[in-house]
Amino acid sequence: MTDDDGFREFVHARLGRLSRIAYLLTGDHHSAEDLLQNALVKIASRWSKVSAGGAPDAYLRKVLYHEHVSAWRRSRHLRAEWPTAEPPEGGSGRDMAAETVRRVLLEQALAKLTRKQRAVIVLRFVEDLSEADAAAALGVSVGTIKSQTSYALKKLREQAPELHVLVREPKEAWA
Amino acid sequence: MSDLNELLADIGDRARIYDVTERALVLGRRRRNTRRLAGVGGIAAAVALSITGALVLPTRPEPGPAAPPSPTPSPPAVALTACAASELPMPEGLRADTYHEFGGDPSGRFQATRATDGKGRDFLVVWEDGSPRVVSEWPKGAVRINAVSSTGTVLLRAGQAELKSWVVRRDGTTTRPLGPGAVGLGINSAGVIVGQIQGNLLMTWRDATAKPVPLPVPDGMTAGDPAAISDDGTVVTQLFEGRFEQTPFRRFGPGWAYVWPPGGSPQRLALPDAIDGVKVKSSRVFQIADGWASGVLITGEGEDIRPYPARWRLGSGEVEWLAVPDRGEGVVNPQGWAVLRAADDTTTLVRGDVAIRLTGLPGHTPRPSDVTGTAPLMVSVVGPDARALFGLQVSEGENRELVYRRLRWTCH
Repeated sequence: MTDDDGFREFVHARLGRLSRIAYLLTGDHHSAEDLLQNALVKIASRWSKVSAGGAPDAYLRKVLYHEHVSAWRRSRHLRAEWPTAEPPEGGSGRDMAAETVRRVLLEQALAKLTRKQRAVIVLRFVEDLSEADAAAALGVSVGTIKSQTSYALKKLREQAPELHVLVREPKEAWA
Repeated sequence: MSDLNELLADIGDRARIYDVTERALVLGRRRRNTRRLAGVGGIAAAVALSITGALVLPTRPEPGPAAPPSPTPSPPAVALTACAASELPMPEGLRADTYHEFGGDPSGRFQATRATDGKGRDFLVVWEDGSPRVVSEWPKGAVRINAVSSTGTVLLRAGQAELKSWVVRRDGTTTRPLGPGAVGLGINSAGVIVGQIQGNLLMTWRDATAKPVPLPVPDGMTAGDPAAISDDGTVVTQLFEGRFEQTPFRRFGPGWAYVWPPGGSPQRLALPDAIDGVKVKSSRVFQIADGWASGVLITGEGEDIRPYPARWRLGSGEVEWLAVPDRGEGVVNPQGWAVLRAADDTTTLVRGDVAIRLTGLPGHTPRPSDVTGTAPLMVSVVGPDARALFGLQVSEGENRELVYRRLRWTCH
């Protein structure tokens, strides 16, 4: 199997999950695709070393989140240029179900978080990583993960009081 | 009932599958092939800037030009993913498919072309924000659009053998720049023109009716074309080694990109000694905006000539270039977006991580450039953020004649 084929196989097996994470990190399709592409380019350019290293998933996670945190700085203004590119689905014509309302509220609240806070939320609540693993993915200390999680949840509660009961500290047992 | 992680999962369900695997492989390969150069000018290591292989080099030992006053910050890279072509509309009763004269202002707001009513009369048509309008009759003898300003003024010129040019303002007022054999090459938003008079003497005109004012040129050098002038009056063009006074715009021997800061003396723009081990033999500069000038670095000679799209930061004198040479006309804007033509005529918009293949309108037979000498797609304007590109699609008509269509590529 060539390096390229190995890379293809690795990515295709994870594309659904990677797409979901990229979308959750960025909040829109354009940015999600960009983020995923940028991360995968970095992996592809050194695939032989990455695959030989034996931990390509951990490496890809690190690159993806790092790319998100750094790319966010560069493109923050850009997101405002696509305000209507992807309007919330189901926003007209019928009453939105309660779940949909909550989801939209959460999306709006997530958009108010800093890039790092949003990354922490995805790592802890979507990827279900332990504080230690989340810290390794972001290249920060466990203490930073704890504080950023706390700040992020506080901000979510402030931004979307309707979600108050849903937004709780994650249990470390999940890890 | 839902919890935060369930709501997040619900949001995640809205994701699409972003299959960027093949793009990542191609761009990853380019990234891998990027050469890192260091130590030019005896300064610290070079830094790779983008995935297409752009490199930042420190200045050469020679002094760099002064920073232009208050440059507008360059528009940052935008995450473009696709470009769609559409044909620019023509005014009723006019057609332009037999004419290749086309140009546009760097902002992407104005484009200009030659058009005919089919009854022997030709016109200058200008698009403003996509709407076409007949501005004037096409001046007799004009064969080329040299420049279009961001206020819609068009500079036209006659063929190489005839030193003649016209300035056509948006209201149709047509004048000739003053001076023997005067030819306007570039114009800024204030209407200041840079060009040449007979003897390849580099000049500026304060406006279309003003007398020419010479720009200093180092002894033993001759001004070439194109040339451009920024809104603050900074001028860029190419100077050739040697004096060629008898013929306009002759290009002999090595030429180098130069900058004239407002009221200042000319300074050669920095360049590396070699790219990929091949000596840089020449440089050309086409545009200037936002404190950057853009052009090409040229290696090799004869059939091995390789132009690399490049840009210079005028404040610091740094130069960066794409690691991939261009087979086309060297279209690169000061903001760093380049259009690369490959040997097989494919045309790609590139900057940083973005690489978008451009296509023309479907249903038109492309003509290979090695047959016609003309690429199937000739992009002449890349807007500052590359959301709008303008150029020609060249295809074959029923009688094998070349047909030119004016296209806008809208990128998002």
